[in-house]
Amino acid sequence: MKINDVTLSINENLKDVFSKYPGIVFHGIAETVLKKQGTVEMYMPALFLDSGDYQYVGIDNTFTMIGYHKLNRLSTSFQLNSVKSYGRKEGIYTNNYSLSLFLYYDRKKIKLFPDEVYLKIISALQNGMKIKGFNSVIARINEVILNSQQVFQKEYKGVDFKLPVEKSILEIGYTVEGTFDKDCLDNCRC
Amino acid sequence: MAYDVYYPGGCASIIPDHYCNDCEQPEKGRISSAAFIKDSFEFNDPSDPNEWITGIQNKEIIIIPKTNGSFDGGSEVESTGYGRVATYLSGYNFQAIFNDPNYKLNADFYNAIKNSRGYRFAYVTETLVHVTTVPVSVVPKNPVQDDVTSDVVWNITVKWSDKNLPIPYDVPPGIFECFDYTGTIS
Repeated sequence: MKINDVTLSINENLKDVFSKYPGIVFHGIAETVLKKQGTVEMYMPALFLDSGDYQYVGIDNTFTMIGYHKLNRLSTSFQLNSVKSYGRKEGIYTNNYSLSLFLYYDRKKIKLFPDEVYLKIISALQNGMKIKGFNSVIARINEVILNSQQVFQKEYKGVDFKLPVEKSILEIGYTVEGTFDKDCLDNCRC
Repeated sequence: MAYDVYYPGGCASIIPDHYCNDCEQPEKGRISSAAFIKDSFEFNDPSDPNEWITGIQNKEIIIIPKTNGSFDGGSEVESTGYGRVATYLSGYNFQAIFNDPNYKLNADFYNAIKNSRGYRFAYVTETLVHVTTVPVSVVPKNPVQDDVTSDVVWNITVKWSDKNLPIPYDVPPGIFECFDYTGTIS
């Protein structure tokens, strides 16, 4: 039971929504990594792999659209005497995940304004996801930052390239609320 | 002329001693497990897990390991008294309600047990099991709420009438767990 399973489910929906466009790729939960070139420090998004290596998932001109998620915050609440608790369990847990979806796309190839892309993303965040380990999963979009330069400077501090005007990068903030029974956690990766 | 005694003097039953303990740990609520027991199956000791295992293996006991629910404690049935006693307590009508979250694969089970008149009922609280001494009627329902976050579960009402209140016994260890009916309990 991992939040990454939720992001992968969202990515499948995003692939459906943008299926008519070639060259799209969506990644799971990335982290900001520091890369040094001499004395220059550059920050960029990358996936942490099981091998211990990092895979860069950021801007890449070979793709028409690239998406990746970042997990910003996680809080947990406990509902005592929930009708969804059985046996001697006193209640159920709810994890509230605060995430961002970063979406880079080429506006020459995907002829959509950023707000139009945003509406398509809203349709991709469907509720009723069945994720192993979660009793219920609800995803809600909170906000979107449409200012590409603002998002680019936040994600790519210190990098030696600039975002061309025909490329857009959005940051969509969303929340995932997952309720679960702690005795049903799948800890097989331990 | 002296008459032989026709009515025995006093009809009171023997009252056992009352137990008290200022520091007793209270028993916590919720029907956390339930069971249906064939009326022909008799316990010598409801706290003995071996008796339960025998009943389960012979399919005379059906365990529902994880539930939530409540027991109403009984509605008194009073009958007209005699002499200077206006009414007397003749028994109770009992009702227990529990929810079973294992929904899809238990439709046949609940459709069958609702027609049966030959099962007693046991319910488990924190550390105690209570077994009815009489057969019960079972009214299962599977309501659906207009709420996409709600769960569809079996809602079971169990009713019975008895003179006496259910007696609590220590819950037998290792019985109210989830297992399959292969005749062995792991």
